[in-house]
Amino acid sequence: MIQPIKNDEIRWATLMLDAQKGNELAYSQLLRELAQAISGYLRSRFGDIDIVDDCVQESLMAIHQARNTYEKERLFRPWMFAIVRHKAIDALRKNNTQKKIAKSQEQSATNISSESDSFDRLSYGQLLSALPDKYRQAIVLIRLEGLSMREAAEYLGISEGAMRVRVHRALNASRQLLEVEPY
Amino acid sequence: MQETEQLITRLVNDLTVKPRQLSIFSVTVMWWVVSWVYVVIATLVMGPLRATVIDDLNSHHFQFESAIGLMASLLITFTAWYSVIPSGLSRRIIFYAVVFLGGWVALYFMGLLVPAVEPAMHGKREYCYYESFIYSLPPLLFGCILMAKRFSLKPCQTGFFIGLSAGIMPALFMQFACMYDPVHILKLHILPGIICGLIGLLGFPVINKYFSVIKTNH
Repeated sequence: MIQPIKNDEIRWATLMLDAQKGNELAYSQLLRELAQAISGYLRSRFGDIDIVDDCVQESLMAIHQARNTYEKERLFRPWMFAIVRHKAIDALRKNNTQKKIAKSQEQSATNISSESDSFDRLSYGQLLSALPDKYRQAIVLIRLEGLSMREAAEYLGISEGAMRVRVHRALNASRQLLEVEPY
Repeated sequence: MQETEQLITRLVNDLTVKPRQLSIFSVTVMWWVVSWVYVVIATLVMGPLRATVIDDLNSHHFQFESAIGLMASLLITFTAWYSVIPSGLSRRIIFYAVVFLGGWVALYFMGLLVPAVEPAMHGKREYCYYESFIYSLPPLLFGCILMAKRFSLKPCQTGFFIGLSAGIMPALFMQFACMYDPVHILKLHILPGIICGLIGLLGFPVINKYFSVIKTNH
C-alpha cells in the first residue's frame, strides 16, 4: 500500500513541476490521473452519490488555479488532498442547502415517517454510516431533513441545548472522518 | 465522465507558463522585514523614541517582554503566509504562534501587578492609538494583495492572521516609542492591533474574491 502511494507522490510531483514549465502532455496526464484518484477518494468516503463528479471537476479547476503554489520542496499529495477536501466540504454544504431549498419549495415539511426512511433517502454513503448512531441521527434530522433545533430535539426527546451539542459533535466527527487522508 | 474529459482538455489548453514565484519562505521573510522597516521609519518620523528606553533595556523583564513580542510577530506572520499554500500550515505553527501571542499579551496583564519597568508618562505620544492603528494598514493591504495572488483555502483565517501580524508590529514598537504602562499598552497599543486582525478577517475574503475573479478570467 505504501509503495504505490510513494510512486504516485513522486510521479505526480514530477508531472506538476513539468506542467509548471508549460509541458502540456505532462499536465494532461497529471489531470487524468488526478481525476481518477480524486473520484476514488470521494467515492470511498461518500459512496456513489451524484455530487462526486461535480466535486472532481471543482477540484481539478481549483488545482489548475493553485498550480503555481505547489513548491517542489513540499509533498504533492497533502497539497492536492487539502484542495480536494476543501472542495468536498463545499460541495456537501451546497448540496445540503439545495436540498433544503427544494424541500421548502415543495412545502413538504411534514413529519418524518421513520428514521430508516430518512437514511435510505439521504444516504451519504460510508461517511454517514461510519458515524455513531446518535451523531448520524443528528445530522440527518438537522442537515438533511432541515428540521430546526427545537423540532429535532422534540423528535429525539432531548433538550434543545443537548441537541445543539450533539449536532456540533456530529459535525466535528464527520470532519475528522473526512480528514483521514490516504497520504 | 465525458464532461471531466472536456474540462481536462480545456484546462490543458489554458496552461500558461507563469513567471517563477518566490518561495513562500522568502516572501514571508521579505514581507516581515519590509513591514518592520516601514513601521520603524513611520514611527520615528512622527516622533522620537522614549528618552528612557536605553535604561529600560537593561531590565531583563523588559527584554523578555520585547523578545516574546518579536517572536509572536514572526510566528503569526509565518502562520498567515503559510495559510495561502494548500496544506502549507501545520497545527504546530498555529499552536506556537497562539502560545507566543497569548504569552506576550499575558505578560502585560502580569505587568499590572509586576511591571517590567516603573510605569511613567515619559515619552507619551498624543495619538499613539491612531498611530498604532494607521501604521498597520499599509502592511496589511500590501500583504493581502500579495496573498490574494496565491491560494488560500480559508480566507477568513488568513485575513485574521495577516491583520494580526500587521497590527502587532506598531503595537510592539510603541513599547520603545511611547510611554510604558501596561494599562496604556493594552488599551492603546495592543487593542488597535487586534482590531487590525478583525479588519483583515473581514477584508481579505473580499480582496481574495476580487483576485480570484481576475485569475479565473485570465
